[in-house]
Amino acid sequence: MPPLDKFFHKKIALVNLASGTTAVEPWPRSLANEAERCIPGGSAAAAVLSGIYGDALVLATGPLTGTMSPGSSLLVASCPVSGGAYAHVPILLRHGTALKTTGVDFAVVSGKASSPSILILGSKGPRIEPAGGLSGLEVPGMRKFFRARLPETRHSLLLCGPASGWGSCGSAALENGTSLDRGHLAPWMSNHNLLAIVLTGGGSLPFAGGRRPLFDKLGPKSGIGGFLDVLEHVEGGAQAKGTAEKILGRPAACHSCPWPCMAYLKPGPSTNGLLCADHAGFAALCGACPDSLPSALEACLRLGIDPVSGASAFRGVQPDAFGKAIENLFAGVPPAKGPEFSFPLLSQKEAPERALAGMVLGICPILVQRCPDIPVGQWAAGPDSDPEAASFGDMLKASLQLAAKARTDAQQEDMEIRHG
Amino acid sequence: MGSSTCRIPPPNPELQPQQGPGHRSYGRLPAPAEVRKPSGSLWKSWKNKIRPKREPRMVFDPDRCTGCGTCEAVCAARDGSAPDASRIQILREETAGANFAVFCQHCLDPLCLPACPQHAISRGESGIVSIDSRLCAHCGLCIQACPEAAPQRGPDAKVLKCDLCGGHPECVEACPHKALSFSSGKALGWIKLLRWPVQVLSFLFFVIILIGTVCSVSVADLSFGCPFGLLQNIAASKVILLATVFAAIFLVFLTILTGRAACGWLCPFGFFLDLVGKIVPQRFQLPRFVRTRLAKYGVGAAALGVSGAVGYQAFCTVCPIGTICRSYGLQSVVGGAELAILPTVAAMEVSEKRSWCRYLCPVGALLALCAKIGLIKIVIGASRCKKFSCMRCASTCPMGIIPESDLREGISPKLDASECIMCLRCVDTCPHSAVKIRFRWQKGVPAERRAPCGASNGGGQCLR
Repeated sequence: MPPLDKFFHKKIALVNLASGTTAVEPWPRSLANEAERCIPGGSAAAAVLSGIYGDALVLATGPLTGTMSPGSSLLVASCPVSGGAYAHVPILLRHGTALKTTGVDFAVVSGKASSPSILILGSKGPRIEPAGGLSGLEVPGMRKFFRARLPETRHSLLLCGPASGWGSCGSAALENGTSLDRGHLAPWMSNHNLLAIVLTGGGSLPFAGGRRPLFDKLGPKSGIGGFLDVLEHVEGGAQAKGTAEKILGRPAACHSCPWPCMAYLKPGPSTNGLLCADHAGFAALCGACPDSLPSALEACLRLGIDPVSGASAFRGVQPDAFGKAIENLFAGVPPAKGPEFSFPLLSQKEAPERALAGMVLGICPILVQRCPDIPVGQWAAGPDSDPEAASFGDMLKASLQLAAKARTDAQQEDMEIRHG
Repeated sequence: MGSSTCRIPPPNPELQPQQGPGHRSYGRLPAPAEVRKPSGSLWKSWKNKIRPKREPRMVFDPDRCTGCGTCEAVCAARDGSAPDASRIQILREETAGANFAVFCQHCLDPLCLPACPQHAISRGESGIVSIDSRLCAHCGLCIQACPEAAPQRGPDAKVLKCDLCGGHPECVEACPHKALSFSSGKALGWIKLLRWPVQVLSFLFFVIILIGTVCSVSVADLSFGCPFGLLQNIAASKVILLATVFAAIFLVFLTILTGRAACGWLCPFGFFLDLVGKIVPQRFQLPRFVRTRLAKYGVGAAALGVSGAVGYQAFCTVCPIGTICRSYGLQSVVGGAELAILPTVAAMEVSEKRSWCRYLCPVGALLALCAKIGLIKIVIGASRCKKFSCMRCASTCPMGIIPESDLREGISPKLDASECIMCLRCVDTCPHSAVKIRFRWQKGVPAERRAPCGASNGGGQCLR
């Protein structure tokens, strides 16, 4: 059995927004074939599935998503961007676990809905619902909407704020109050009339028990030190550190992460409940408008704006201008970053490779980079020697290549079968 | 409820604990049958009663929780279910990032236990409230009965409830920030082992040895007297004798130093009431006009007035404390009207424990005034107190100064030092170490651990 095979349901959810049809099917053949020689998770799986399903949004978990491994909360959202490339957006908090507990490993969303819609992925299968009163709401309003609509269930959200409808590429799809989308996922969702993706989980995982292999080795970190650790390694972060120390308060962590690197802004008149998870965004805004940083951050999270892309638009803007008129400032701002995921912490040479490995395995790419002493292979195999670990390195390499590779023959065949 | 619902079904193989490569066996958890097994000889049962008990407890510290959900993941992994269906649930308050953990508190009197029609829930000797999966019909009534809704439904609709992993909770071990802590329990009931001998010795000293001189005791050149007796004396004779003042002042100082410990530990009549209270069930209520704590001040004022009018210590003739010494000692005269006083006052115990001390005792009223400026007090720490899911302190307090209503509303009550008799039953019985003795000038229970967020956010987010 290939390593890490036991961590998958081997099922995929297929959603067609145009026809309104949904299905849960076994993995396509090409993906199953790839599983023999590489790790079919995260961005690697998304690359394979994108090849099969064309202009589709792929939500992919990694093999370690939902396990006892530290930082195993990752969901990779991959969507096509202009120029034929794919953007791989890491979604953190609890989204990866929420998707995996719906009983599928991946979800492929294709087609364009005729009217604004919501996609709900739960243990009873995916379903498409009309957006109803969701249209036109700002992100806090959208979250309230879902709290009222799904009061009994825990849910993880991916929301398109109003900024995604402004024709700008600098909008961001937001999870619960935060995002690492650099203006790729939100425009795709908006263009396809998909206002929100709701992950309700509720099912079971394909594995039981399990070790917590690296927790003892990592040890805990507390306070907002985690946020500052990461911040000082991103562009402009060193200058923003002093501001962060002043305005950030309670720390927060993603699913199963011993090193919290997010923090809530201290409550203020307009900043109550702002979870700050985007270190690069924080640094960019701090550089652009240090005096009105909380208001700018609040505007980004309220309207669904990528702070990195929006920083230039906010430069020199007074705090009282962060109202609805911000639309005029922001319209036409292009995404600041390219489609390829890059979150390397500047001081580490191996950072990009480790980040990509995390994106394949379903481990937070930030955490993987923060502990360079731990080989990526140990994440899956544990600190003790493991007979499965011998082939793991090769398979991971193959996965990383696959994530960047063009369409294979098997994918082509799958696509032809699919399209008749 | 029909009889069919109470019938215990045969064991369902589908509901047996799963065993297999992916599932852990929790062999340390005693089987329910074992839990209910009688403890053996009479000596053993007494030994168990006397020996201080330790009850396993899990305590959640919201200041340390980052909401990572590792506890949920570890717990759910026992069954291979999703974190949504774990036995511990983290409620994340997104507006300020405050988190709260919901898990079974293993209550002293669990409401889930009588609610279960299958009698599948039991409280073991170790204090762990567990569900016998062989008997459980997964009806979910325990979820409705639990004030914290601690039992959870798994993905297959089975009811799951924290069993503390048999005494070694995995979630506590897994929590990277030590927001969960577990202890096999502090020693409960050891103060009781100290207080009862003191009370017995005090009773014997006053009733048997001193024989009828309780209002004034002389040891060598030192005299100790009842301060209320002194006040009556002054009212009756209109003369202040310094010797009697010095004699009475000891109890006043003792009260200022230790609160009304004299009432809780030394008073022979208090001990007598404690014994009666253990025997007599509290089933009736005194009239409302009696059930006011101000009444004892009225009784005291009236006694002083009468003493002044009649020219002798009027209340001392009917004082139950004096009566128990004068009339019931070995060489005392057993008879007379005084004999009726004790049963009459003791009969009030059918209403509430220490009813006399609560509402009528003028000596207690005087000491209560001293305790108001006393140096120590009892406080209940809000962060440790489990409030409505425990309420042991409220049920054990003989003076009834810990209002259950507050605990039911999730409020840790402030205790009135003047009404507290410092018996320390609440300290003794609190399994969470939430009840502490503090100096008067201390505001509450000092935080034993600093919140991890405290240094950088000024503690503004803490939930205390």
